[in-house]
Amino acid sequence: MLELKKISHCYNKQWVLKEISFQFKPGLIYGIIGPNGAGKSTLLRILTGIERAKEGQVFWDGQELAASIKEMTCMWQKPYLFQRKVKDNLLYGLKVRGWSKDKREERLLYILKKFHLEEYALRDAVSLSGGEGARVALARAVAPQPRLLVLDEPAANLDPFHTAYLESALREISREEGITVIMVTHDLFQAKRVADQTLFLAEGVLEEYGRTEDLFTRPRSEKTRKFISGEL
Amino acid sequence: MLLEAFRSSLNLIISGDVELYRIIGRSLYVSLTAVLIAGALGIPCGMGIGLKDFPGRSLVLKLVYVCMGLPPVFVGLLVFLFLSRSGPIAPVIYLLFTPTAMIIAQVILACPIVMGVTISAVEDRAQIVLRTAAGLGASRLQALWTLVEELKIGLVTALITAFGRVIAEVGAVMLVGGDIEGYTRVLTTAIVLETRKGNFSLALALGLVLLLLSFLINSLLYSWQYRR
Repeated sequence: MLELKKISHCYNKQWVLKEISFQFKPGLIYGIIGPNGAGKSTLLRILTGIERAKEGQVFWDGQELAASIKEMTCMWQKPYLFQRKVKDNLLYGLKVRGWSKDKREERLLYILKKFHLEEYALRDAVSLSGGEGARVALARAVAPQPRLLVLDEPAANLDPFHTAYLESALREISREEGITVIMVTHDLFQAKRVADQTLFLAEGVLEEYGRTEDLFTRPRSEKTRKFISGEL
Repeated sequence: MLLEAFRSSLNLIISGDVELYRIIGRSLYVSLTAVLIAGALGIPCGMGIGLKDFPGRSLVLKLVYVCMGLPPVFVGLLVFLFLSRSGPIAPVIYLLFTPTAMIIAQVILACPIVMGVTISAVEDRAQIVLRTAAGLGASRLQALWTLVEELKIGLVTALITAFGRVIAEVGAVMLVGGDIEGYTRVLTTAIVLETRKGNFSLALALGLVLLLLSFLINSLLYSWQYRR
């Protein structure tokens, strides 16, 4: 699966990530939390292959990661929907992977049903509301049956209804299809509700990680405790 | 006079005047060819400049934006000197006073416009489109093609703007084409000629034909753009 080995990164000689090592296990949902400037987004860019770490390595199935890989999909904060119909957005990841037409159609029908998007299929994606757009973006990201799904603040700017929908759909599809999920979120409650394991980053250091429940109820590090209680 | 000109232009079009249709055909041939070449050169260059950060980029951007407003007469003069008997390529090929010379001048006028509008469109949306495409498993090439598809409205706008500029310009085509009847005469040079002859009614009629033509081409491109 995905493994980070002593990842360090800097911008203008300022280190934003310091020697982060971690091994993600298949089929689990990981939440990455931490205060602003902790290095969460930088870590996400590095583990998706968008940016290369100044030091350390990222391994995927034992091979060093050089660029984005087909087994991984991402849903970025404020997701961008292509200016085409909803169904064409959903088919995008399948087409770039060269799926056959029959398999594409079969998967499309499944995803439309799974995410309750049947009535949206022929609508222009640009006409959707923020909540509907986020639902389509999540459905689009899971459509190609990735082994790893990376989410950057998936529920940012969403109302409680759409946030709840997104979280429940995420948990369900991850369990059904065995997808490993890595989710950066600033919403502690969201990490608590969704993640099996949580990583806490502070000042570029992986301060603490473990089962979400343990991390929130019995934090080992003083910084984690302060962050959870809103003091940091 | 305007009403009369309008009536004359309609009569000209309806009467099937062969020379008029040849002039219209030549105008379209020269300007559309120039815009197509400018598109083939300017869109990839504009995308490259819009996507890449390189030393001197801001200077290149300034140059492109300055060149968007190049005076046609000045471009005509440069092309004239380049293609003239004493120019560098005359020993190989002599192109002055040919439709090819007019196309070259119009390409120089259209290219910065296509580039400039493309750069704006790319800067506006490239990062998010490329990141989204890559995040869904697209290769670099697939992501770039997706970007072209996403920018198609901006790219068509670039071509429409460039076409509007070159179909209506007279200075460059007059200088390098020479307004030779039956060979390099286009709508704009014909308008100048008829005005000089004092034939204002015909000049206005030709102007209206030019306007109509521009309107038709733009309408076609816009309807295609929004149908997509």
